[in-house]
Amino acid sequence: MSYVLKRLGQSVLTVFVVVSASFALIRLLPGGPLDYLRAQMIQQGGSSMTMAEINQRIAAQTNIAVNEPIYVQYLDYMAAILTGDFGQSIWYEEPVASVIGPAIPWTVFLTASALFLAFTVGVSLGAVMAYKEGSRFDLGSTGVGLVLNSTPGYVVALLFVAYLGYRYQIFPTGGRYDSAIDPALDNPAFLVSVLKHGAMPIASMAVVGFGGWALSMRGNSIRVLGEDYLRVARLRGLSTRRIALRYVARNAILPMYTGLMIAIGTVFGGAVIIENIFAYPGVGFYLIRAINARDYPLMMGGFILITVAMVIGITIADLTYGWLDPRAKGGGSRESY
Amino acid sequence: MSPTDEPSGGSGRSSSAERSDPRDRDDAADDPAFAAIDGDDDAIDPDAVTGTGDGSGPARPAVSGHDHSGRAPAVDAGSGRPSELRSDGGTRSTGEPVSEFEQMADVSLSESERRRQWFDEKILAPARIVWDDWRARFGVVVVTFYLLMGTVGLQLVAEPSPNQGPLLVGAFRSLQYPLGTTASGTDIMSQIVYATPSMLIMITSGAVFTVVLGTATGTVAGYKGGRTDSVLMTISDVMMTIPGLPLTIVLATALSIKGNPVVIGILITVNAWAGLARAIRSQVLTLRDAEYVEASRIMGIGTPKIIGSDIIPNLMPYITMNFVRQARAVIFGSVGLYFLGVLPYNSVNWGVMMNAAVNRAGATSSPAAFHWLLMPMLTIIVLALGLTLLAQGADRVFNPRVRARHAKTVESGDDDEGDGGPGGATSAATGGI
Amino acid sequence: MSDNQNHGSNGTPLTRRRMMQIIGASGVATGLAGCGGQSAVETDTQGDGGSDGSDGGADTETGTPTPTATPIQEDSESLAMIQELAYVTNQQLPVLPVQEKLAQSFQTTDDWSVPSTDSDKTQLYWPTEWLPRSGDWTSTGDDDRITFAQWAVPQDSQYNTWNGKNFAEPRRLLFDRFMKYNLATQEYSGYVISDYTLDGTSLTLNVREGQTWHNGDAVTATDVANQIKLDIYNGGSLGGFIAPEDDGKVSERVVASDETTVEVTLTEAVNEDILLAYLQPKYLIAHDGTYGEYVEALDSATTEDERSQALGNLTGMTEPEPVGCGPFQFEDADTQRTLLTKYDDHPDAGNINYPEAEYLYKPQNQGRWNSLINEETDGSATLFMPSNKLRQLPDSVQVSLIPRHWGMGLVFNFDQSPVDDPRVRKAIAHVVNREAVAKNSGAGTNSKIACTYPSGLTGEFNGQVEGAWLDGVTDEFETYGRGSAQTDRAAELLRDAGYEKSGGTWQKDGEPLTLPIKGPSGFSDWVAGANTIVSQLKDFGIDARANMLDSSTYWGQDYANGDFVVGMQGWASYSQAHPYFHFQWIFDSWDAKNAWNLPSEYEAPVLHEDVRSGETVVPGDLVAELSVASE
Repeated sequence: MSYVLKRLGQSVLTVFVVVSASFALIRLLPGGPLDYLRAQMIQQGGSSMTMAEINQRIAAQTNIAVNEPIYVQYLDYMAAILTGDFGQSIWYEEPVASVIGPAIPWTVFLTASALFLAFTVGVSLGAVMAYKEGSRFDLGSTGVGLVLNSTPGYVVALLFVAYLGYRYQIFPTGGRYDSAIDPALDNPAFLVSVLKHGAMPIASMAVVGFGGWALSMRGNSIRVLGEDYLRVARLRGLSTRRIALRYVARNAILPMYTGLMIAIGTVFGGAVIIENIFAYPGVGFYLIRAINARDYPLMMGGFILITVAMVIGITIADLTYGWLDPRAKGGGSRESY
Repeated sequence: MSPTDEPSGGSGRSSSAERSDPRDRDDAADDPAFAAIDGDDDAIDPDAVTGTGDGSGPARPAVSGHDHSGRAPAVDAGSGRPSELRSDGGTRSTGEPVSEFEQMADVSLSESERRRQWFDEKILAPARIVWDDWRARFGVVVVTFYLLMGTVGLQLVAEPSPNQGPLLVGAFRSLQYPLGTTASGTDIMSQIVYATPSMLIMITSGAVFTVVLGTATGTVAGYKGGRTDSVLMTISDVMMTIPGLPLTIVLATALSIKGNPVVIGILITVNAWAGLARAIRSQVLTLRDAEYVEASRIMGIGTPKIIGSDIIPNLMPYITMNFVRQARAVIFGSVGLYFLGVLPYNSVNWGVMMNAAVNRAGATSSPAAFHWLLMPMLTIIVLALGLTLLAQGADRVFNPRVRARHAKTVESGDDDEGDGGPGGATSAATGGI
Repeated sequence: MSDNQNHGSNGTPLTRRRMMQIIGASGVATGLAGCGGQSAVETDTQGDGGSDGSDGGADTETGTPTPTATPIQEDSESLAMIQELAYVTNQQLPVLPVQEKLAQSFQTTDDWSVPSTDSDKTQLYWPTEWLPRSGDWTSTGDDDRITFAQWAVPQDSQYNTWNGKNFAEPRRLLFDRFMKYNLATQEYSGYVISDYTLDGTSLTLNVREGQTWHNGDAVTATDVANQIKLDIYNGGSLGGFIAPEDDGKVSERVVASDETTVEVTLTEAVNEDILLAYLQPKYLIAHDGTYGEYVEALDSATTEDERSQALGNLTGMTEPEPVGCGPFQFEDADTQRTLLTKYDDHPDAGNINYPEAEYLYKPQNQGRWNSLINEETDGSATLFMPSNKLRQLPDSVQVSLIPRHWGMGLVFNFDQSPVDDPRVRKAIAHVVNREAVAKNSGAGTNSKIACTYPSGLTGEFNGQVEGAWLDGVTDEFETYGRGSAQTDRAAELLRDAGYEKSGGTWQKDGEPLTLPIKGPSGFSDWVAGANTIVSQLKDFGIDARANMLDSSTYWGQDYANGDFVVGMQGWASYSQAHPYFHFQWIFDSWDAKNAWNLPSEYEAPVLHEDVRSGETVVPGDLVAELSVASE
């Protein structure tokens, strides 16, 4: 129990650190949205809007920090975050939460699906490969897995866009769903459209991930297959199926669990680039927009939300590890990651 | 079956001329103890065994890490008596008990011998191991190729500039522009080659940073334990759960970095050391209680030296794995961020090339410009593949069984599949990157 | 030439014929002067665009869009002044005009009937907004929805033009412009402002009748007056003629005298074409019901603070569902598209035979190119498309080339050596092979034309510069080697300036001549141009470097703070075509004074004796004189 508390405490600490860092970055660093605004105005107004006028407009539009001592600002900021107020997006003129909030489920949809797909396909493939160790199938899959593992997700995404998207027009190349369709969860056309639009982003992330899982599973399975308790199980006359699932699979997958936690982290990062390639309005997409616009509140809000999502995911994984692996009761002796 | 066939005489300090090949000394057949175990009751003459009066039984060769690896066990000088007359720590030259503390080494190596031995141990053997495995071989070739490309290549290939050739020449079409040209007429091969050095610097700086920081943190935390341990581990846990790429993006924007590859490399791996620290720490926790470590401690060897020579060599597999993994992460991350335009623009860069190909010429939907996108992609994939394979091959270098086999220069004919595929550390799912 | 009635600062004739006459190629761009509108949404977002969508020239001919140059109508005095300014620019090179740009506008002919590309009817800024209104873009078949693309996320777009953010493309169909201008015929015609009269310092505008806002309110002179006032309060250029000293006077000088008449009092007589150039492009956005309160607040503000406050309120307001006055009204916007439906009470509604207009969210050039290629969109106002994509366009998509009267140039920071020395600047001009730069910048299309006489005048594409503006004096002007690198001349100049070439690089006192060129990395055509320039300079022996920064950093910091030695910027006025605006930009703008640190006076040889006497010239004064010069 105390481990659970400790773990939760750590998660809270992480979020706290991230929020503080974001406060520092927003308040203390120079430049910012003024530059982007100025850039936009120069580009729009060309020569006819004088710089003095631009500056005047900018001063009127942006919410410059008030002259309060910094620790007061810090406390205000913290309190605001706790209530879900991430500030106002300078570019969108709306609360950050309302800009990014609707985008979160979409990002989670992409990343969770990709992770799930990569994991299940990878593990199954790995098991088969272990079973057929040494065969051509095994060697071929190992090769393919290695090559795919050496490919970044966005490269695959671009190739998909080029071939599946533009050349053969199988999947749409951008957006979350077809806007002509009524977005209701019980509308099958809507669901189909969501899946079609999400197919390529998810596939890009999954394709580069499954190779690693497969190879890992293969290695673990091979090791497990040589263990004594398997021999005993066979001698006991247990069915192959039962052995395969309850003994081999379980013991082989267990060490990969920590890898899963790492993967949660990387998949969020990878999603940022992928979302931009597909112009898919998820959190990563808005993060990049915020960066281009130097919209610090939005950028920080996006970053905090991504971190929170990741912390939640990892904490869940961490806490359920004890449930999966009976040996790791307290967690203290467990080697994490 | 006297094992004492050693020809060297003299005072037991064999001169280089007389010393036989050190490796033969490890032959089990020469050792009286083994003969005794095998059942030969006469192998060891109890009367001949001497010691410092302790009445102990048959001696056995030293087993600690400080044993005379590769050195010839002493032989008796004048009496030619069997080298079974050993007691822990050395032998006598004259057959009389000598205090352990006054014992001098009976064997010494000359300078060149020592160097040769070192060379053999540290360089040739690993090289041979690596070369054996086709994967590692491929990896070495690839990485060397890229290193050459980044250094010598700059001399061989012209510097990229606009209008080197006709616009958008396809790849593999002309010898002059083997990889084609861009929409400005720049030779793609030049661009790729000239972007290599800074990419290599980025990779190295990022990977080295991670490895150094992670190892240092992990070993210190694991070895010291207690308060240091929990503080360090809390820090690293926090760092670990912060998503890497978004953090890099945010920092790159907020800190307005100028484009120094070293800085970028470090920025991309800024929180990756935490994972390594964790893994190292658990290893250290187990190693901490190993006998030889304890022995070193007792001997009074300083902590840094213990860590350096006893613990770290055992961690090498993790370290190399992580080095390669971070190198890969830096490649993918930096190219991705340059592609997005988050990192400051740099005209010779693989990621920027991809960006230009897509945005300036619509490469994903235009076969005429597709090569401009494809070439940098392939460059990245091949480099990452080479690094990964090299890591897998290197893993075998640290596998003691494989090393030992090679230490006897016995060519192993079969591919050692014993480690069951790639090491676990490289195969963590990468998700999006 | 023009009919001269009075000269001097007073003379501007009253005849109505004036309305139809134009000077030179007074183009109107995406209406900015004083509008604070957004044209540059075309320029880039996310660093994807070329600078303001350019280029056409498909793979066929060089595409000179306008037929022959219409002779300019400028009185000899004004012309002399213009030529003098051009000469000073040419000899002193405060900026280096490198190339001019042709914007490329697309229309699909599948299911749609549009004028052909060489027709005068497409020479507008921009066809996508004017052709539907004039009945020249009609549906022939099943397509009952005209589809275009927009850069900003539709759901996040808002239509308060003074806010400046996310102001989206649908504005073209949602709001009407004050007047219409055709580049080819160089004619103004009335639109929201049906006609006008200019008498000395008094300008009267007549608002057309029968027009209503989308919510039923009538379009009145109050709305028009509000629009003009709000623009001025936000720093528009008309303010310089109406209330240059005190914004407080604006409300009394711009008055809606009755339901359809606006009276504007100028502080001095202004050249009519300049006034028209500022007025024509304005969109009528200031719906009284929406913006009236802000106008009142600004009008009644007595102190600077009050005015800033009121202005802040105005610019902070967002308007996601606008009430417009155009032929289409706002229906809906989500993350993918904005939907507009036809507003039947619009005066031109009868010319439109399709009920809906749609703007798809396409934030990347690639998406736009492909949607044109597969005809997902029916056209584009202005878009940069490289030659390899142009080749993929189906035959049913036509491309019309529209001169932009603007282009990429190098600007010099006069506070930095070595570029404060005119000989160095001229040497650079000699070395740079502008044709090569234009070719690379245009990415294989013929959409960028190198300037033959770098002088601040536009009109390269139809020979207007030497044929009309510089007629008779072209011999005096220096071309600086349009299509070649004149290294000898450059070397001579550099030696004269104290440099010598040793070891392949130019040096002075042991210090090599370095030229770092900063520019925005988001304009890919400028990047290509910069790289070409740098490599040419390097070949010559100057240590040049292209330092491309991201747009926000470049425009927002480095450029605005004058933190550069050589920078990249447009060398002409972004929104206008008349030389007055260009010279005003080059010599008298905020940028010239603060970012480029130009001096106010120059030493340059004299072209026209009767314009100025000595070698010293203050170009700003000449520009001011031009603004009031007679026709």
